[in-house]
Amino acid sequence: MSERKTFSHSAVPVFHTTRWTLVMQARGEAPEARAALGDLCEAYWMPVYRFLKREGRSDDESRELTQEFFSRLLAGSTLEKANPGKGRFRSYLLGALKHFLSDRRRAEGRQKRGGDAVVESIESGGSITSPGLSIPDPGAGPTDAWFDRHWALSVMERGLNAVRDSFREAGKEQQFEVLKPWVVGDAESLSQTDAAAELGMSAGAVKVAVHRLRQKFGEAIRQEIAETVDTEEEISEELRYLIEALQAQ
Amino acid sequence: MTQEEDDMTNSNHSTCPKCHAVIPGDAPEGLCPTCALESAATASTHTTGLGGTPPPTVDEIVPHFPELEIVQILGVGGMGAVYQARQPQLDRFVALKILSHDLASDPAFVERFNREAKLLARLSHPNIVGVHDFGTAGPYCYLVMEFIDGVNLRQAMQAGRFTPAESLAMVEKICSALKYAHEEGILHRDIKPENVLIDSKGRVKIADFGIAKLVGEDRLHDVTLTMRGAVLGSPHYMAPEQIESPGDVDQRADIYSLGVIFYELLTGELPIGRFALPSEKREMDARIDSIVLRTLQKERQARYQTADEMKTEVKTVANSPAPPVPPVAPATPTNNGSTARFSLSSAVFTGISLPLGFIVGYLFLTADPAPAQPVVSAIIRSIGAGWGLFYLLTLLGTALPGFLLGARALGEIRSSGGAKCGLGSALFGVTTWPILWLFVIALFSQPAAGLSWTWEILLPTSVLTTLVTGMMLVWSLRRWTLGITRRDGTRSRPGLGRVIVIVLVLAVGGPILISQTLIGFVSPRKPLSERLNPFADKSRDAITRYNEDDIAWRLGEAELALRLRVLSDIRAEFFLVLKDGLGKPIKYSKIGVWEARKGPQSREDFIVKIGSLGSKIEGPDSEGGFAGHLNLTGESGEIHGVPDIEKWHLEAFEVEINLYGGSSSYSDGVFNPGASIRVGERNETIDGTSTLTGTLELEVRSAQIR
Repeated sequence: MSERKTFSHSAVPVFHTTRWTLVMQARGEAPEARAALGDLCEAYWMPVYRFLKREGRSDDESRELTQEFFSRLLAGSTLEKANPGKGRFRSYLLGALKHFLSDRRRAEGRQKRGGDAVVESIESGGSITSPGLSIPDPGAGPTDAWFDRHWALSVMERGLNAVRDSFREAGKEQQFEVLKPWVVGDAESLSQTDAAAELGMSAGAVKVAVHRLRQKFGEAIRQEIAETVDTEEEISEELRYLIEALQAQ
Repeated sequence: MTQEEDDMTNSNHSTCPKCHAVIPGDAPEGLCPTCALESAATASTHTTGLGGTPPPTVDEIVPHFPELEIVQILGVGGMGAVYQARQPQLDRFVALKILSHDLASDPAFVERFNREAKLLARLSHPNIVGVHDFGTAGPYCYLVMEFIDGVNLRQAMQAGRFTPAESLAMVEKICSALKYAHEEGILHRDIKPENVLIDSKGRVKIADFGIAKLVGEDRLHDVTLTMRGAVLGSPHYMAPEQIESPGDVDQRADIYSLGVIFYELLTGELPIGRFALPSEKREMDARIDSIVLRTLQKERQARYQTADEMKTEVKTVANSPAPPVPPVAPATPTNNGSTARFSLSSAVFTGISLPLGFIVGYLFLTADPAPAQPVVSAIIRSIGAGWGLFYLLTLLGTALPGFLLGARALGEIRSSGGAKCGLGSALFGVTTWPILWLFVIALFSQPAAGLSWTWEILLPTSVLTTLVTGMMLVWSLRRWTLGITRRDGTRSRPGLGRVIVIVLVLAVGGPILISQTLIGFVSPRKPLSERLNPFADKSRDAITRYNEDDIAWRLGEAELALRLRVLSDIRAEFFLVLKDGLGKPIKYSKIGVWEARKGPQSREDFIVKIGSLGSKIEGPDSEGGFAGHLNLTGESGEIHGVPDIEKWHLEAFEVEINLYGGSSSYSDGVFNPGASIRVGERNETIDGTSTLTGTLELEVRSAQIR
């Protein structure tokens, strides 16, 4: 997770060729497209891991499976099957994950049943021989909405980390820590006067810093999202979608 | 990414300070995810254009400024576009402002631009963005200015609301910048949050001094038409006269605009229409209200006349701690102190008047001509008679107008900023009550205070009162008919209520004063009942001098104090009347004869003392009421002072009083103080024996049943 796009401080964000665009254009064939996909997968490792864990696996099992999924994805075995077409990395990854899981279940079923192919529904939890086995939360497997929500959280976390890094580079990490509550906006219960005192800044300077913090965060989020969509117009749309995914919870 | 617990666990149920939803346990940095992404969605939306012609791009202007390294475009405003640029020789950043294009082709404009820009470049103040250079380059008129690495006030307000103290500090700095520029003869003309910059150290700098005038003279009209007013900034920040007659503005227009900013800093809203006071929106020093209101006066005469004046007041409030309890009125600032005191004193006066009224009323009621009489008897007397209520109502009535006027005045003063609109009302409220009270004292306090008010005192009082209330009436009527224009432009006619109050005061007070003065003049020793009740029956016999002494009648269970006066020569024969339950006389027995003479030789002061009285009370009548009458029988009496008779003995005496009204043979009365029993002016023969000649009036002075 060390790779961060540094973003410009210019008021108008410039849209450039993003990783997902690269992947899309090359249909996953070109080496740089592979590298870009690798970066993206690394960035969105967490929602996949959580999704798998949510299905009732242990930490280790989930981690292993996540690794397996990503290595198969990067090896290109699922990329064609998933048929991403025109779309977003988020939808693509979820589609691929579902494919991966159903393939796996089919394979498991074949082994257990001596090679007979039995198609199982995802909802059955992957086990027909021992009903109810190892499903701690029966009937509440992760849904698409659940995945999207965790995706949104990952985007937010990556955005915050990017902002923190830029503050750290400027030697203002403390400023970030003190002012980060204002990322969500100004509220009655938050006192900028206290924050100013803590940071040894004037009230006006705190407002300038808060404005910049928010500006940077906004840019960082858009930058994050830009990496996973195909066109610039889709950024706002995707951001809206993620907000709705969060609100749905 | 180790032990990730189940995602929906909310370990500490903290809530989002903004949307108040519970923040999920897996939220990064413990921040509300929804609000964070919402914030991101709004923070990065840039408004780069205002719908007009797009500004020249960096590439377009670079050729015209070889000595500058153009870095990026910073923003586009109504007056042109601003670019960040670097001066390599000086190794510093500057802001390059390019005025709206194509102006450089107009020689008249260029000449004016050069003239004005020279003035602007002369401005040097820590709170004003400095102008380093200016000129024309290719098709552009440009200004090279100090580069402020920060945000504008609009963005700062979005970053976090200003506390009242921060707002005061901000306004004070803007004031000092305005003061400096105004003294240099330069108006800003476009003070708005976008033109107030704050750098990363928190320093405040005002940008675009005088630019509005430069660009505005040519473009004001078509600009407002074609670009929906956006170009010249929101009209909300412009003083009314700036919109109505842009050619005739002075420094007070800038002060108005600053007032709008001040209000917005304090409340987060614009002062539109009938806006609330800042202290109503949020807890703060109430003195701030009066400053804000004064800057926002529609009439510029009512505003602060200079930025320095405003700065002084802002500083005073900022440096002195707010009073612990918010005052009722915007008290203590030097200019408004006296106003507030006036209105307060009105309320205080009226506050005192209520207990005072009770005391006066009580003293009066308990003061009795016969000192031996207990207080209780006086209270019962007054309650029974209804007079007590009358006194209290009168006193309350005098206090009420003053109180209402005071309260109204207070409201007006508070909402009028420094204009002291309610001063007249407050003065009136203050004076109304004491005048009315003086009035009451003059009328009612005699028995208690031992004063003997006569027309010599009443006349000046009434003249003075009439004069003052008359002046108030004229003033209020004038104010009502002229009307005033409020700051939001609406006209209103205040003071109709005041006119009504004054008319009422005159209508009620006038007759009382006139009648009392007349009575005092004609008959300074008029009986109390007449002085108290100006509406007493005026159809009585002509007033003559009479003796005020009372006759006390004692009778078994009852006690009557009667006042007697002789209006003509009297000869009365008294007799006992027996009646049946329906009041029909059954039997008459003559008891005696009483004579009193009126005439020059008859000194009217006489005393009749009654030794003992017999009583006869007959039982209930057929309708269940108390039957009929008391028979009072006097056995002896004395008349003093009649020259020709040294001592006059009253052998027997009867007055018949019907307890429940109605009349009987010779007398008639109601068992209430103030009522009178008339005997006479008729000759009547009953059984051929009884006669009464002349007029005798007996007034029931008090009545008590034991």
